[in-house]
Amino acid sequence: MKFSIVIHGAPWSSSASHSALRYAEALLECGHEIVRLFFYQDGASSGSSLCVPPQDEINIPEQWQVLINKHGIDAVVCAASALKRGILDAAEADRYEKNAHNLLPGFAVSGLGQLIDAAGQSDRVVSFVQ
Amino acid sequence: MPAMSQSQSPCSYLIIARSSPYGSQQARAALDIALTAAAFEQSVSIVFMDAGVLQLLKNQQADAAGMKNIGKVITALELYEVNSIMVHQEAVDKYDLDPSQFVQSVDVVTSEEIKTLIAGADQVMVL
Amino acid sequence: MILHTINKNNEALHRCLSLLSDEDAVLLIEDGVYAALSCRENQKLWDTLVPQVKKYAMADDLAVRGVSDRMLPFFERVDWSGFVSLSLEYDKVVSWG
Repeated sequence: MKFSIVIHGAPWSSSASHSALRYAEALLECGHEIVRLFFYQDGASSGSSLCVPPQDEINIPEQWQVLINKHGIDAVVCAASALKRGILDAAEADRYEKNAHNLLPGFAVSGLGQLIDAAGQSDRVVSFVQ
Repeated sequence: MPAMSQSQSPCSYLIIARSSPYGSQQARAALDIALTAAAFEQSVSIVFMDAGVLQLLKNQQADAAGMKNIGKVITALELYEVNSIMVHQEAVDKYDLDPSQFVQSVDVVTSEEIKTLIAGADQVMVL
Repeated sequence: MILHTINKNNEALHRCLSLLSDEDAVLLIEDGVYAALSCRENQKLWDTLVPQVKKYAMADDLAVRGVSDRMLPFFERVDWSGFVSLSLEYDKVVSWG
């Protein structure tokens, strides 16, 4: 079956991103397909390459990146959510004349329309709220 | 606006807006989903309940919060052809509000009606 | 038939429960699992529902909080693949928090 997952909370300030990660892993283990991961609101922080948690804590963005790249999952950070929280890819950094970019490879910046599009292609949409 | 994928099928959405307008980004996030879904020609209903009903109050002076005026965003729902804009009777009663004084005309609905809406929508998002 | 997930033990939980239909199910995750703790207040809360509403709690979240062995008897523990199965068993998933 086809699933999309919406992540509303930021790693460490909410459990949403961590729970969604566990759920996504279970989906794939059960043989299901992930149409899209959509990181909305604070969830966009899950795409940051600059998180440095203590060594005995899980690095949630890094684990997302591993999962996304291993399985070729379509992972979108909501553009409006990401930009205002300082999550930028190279193109956005260039466009807004910022001196750095920090979006993890495997994630893409796109609009909220991608959530509606994903829902239309999925048997289930599961949200992990703040 | 990006094109929809080939295999895309239209969905009906019920957005349940439970958050007060300026304490967090939740209210705006709910409205943005409603507006985007409507822009993509999905069938969208929104129901304001609990503290979410406070989004409908007139005279919001959002400049002081450095945020967009939520009341004004709500008035865009009709322009985007959001099918149905509702408030929960219980929230109207709790805050002793007069729905005729809201920024937007709304239908007042009961818990039983909301249950039916939740059961009938393809996607239900609570924010 | 809806699977409602609830991630907090607060008024979002009460709101969700007030809008349940008899054939729905509730899955408590994250801090929501505290509502499955065996105590008088929780017992009273769940007594207000019709008994056929199925009640689940996320095993990992119970274990993390040290409350795995203090769960109300009518709750069923599920793991992440159990959550996936429930997502398919019900027509849709609605998340409250």
